[in-house]
Amino acid sequence: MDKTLKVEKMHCRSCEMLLTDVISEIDGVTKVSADFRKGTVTISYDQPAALELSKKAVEKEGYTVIG
Amino acid sequence: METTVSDGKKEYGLRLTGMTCATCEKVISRVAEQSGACVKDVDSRNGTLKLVCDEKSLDPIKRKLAERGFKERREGELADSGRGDPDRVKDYIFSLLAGEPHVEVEAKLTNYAVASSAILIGLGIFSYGSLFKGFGSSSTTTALLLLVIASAVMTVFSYLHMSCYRKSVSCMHGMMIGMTIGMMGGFMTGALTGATNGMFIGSVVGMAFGIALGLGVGRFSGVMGAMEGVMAGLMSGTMGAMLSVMMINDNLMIFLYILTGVCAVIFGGLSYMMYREAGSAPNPEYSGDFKKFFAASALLSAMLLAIMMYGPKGPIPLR
Repeated sequence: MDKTLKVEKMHCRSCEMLLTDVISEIDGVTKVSADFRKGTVTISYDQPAALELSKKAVEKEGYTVIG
Repeated sequence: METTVSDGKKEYGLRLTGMTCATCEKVISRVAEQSGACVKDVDSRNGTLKLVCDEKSLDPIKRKLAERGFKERREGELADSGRGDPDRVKDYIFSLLAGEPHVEVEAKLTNYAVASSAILIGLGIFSYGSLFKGFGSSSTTTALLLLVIASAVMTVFSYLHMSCYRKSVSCMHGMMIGMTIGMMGGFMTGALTGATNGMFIGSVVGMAFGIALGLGVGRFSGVMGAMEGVMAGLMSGTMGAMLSVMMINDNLMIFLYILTGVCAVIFGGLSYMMYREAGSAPNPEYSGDFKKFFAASALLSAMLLAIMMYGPKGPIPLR
């Protein structure tokens, strides 16, 4: 399953790296890519719970998931 | 630099390139800690990392950091090696034009500025014959009207953009914000009112606008920014009026065009500086909506035009 999240407050390459790092550590996440220009994080996952955990991880780092 | 700590572990001090913000610090800390190091300090301002680890782990950590763009810095090399790179500015402008999310506030305010300018110019054309009299030829009147609108819109843009950084800027950034807006606002209003009303009114009005603007934005970072803004407003308000009066018979209108153009570049530079130094606007809610932008621009334009036309000495017909 793939899901693209709209994420606010990303502003540089480090934001992409940080979110990619924290999300890729979550069980069930198979692939992550972030794009600060588009304000998106695309997640591929094989466990339904991984998506919610990813959103929480993004919020925990100070970003806002808006969709 | 290295210091032996215990169990064969040593404290190392690394100087890295590419660190620009707090997120870079987080990324670097994670890389080091996942490799078994203990991070003592990471500082993006100085581009330094202090960590404790064994000697064997150091090179893999350096390699992983380099893969992420944080290479070990040579003597004399800047921490943020991209500083001064014109491509960064180009990148920012293209992002702004494309309305990318990381410059959402700037893109929104740019749209508001364009729309407000168009409406105000339209209103100016509509009321041209009845309201705007005494400035000299019709081309001079048109030019002054455009310069007033441009000055007002630029000032409102910059004020609202800097409002989005309130309480999240350092004293140094706050002083820069207060100084830039106080100085540009005072200079433009002082020059325009000085050109049409003479030295006294121009100086008083320039000072009043400059001080109010400088104080208004400088206070976001505390008393240092506020003081800097007030002083910049004081200086530029009088200077703008003085230069206009001195140039009254010497291509004053051309000077006003140049002044407004330079102010536009400086306001743009301030917005870029804050984006680069403090990241995307952290409090976008303070940028307001279109109504607020337009109302502030219209009010500022109307106040300036009223003083220029109905001030005690005005308007002095310009060539």
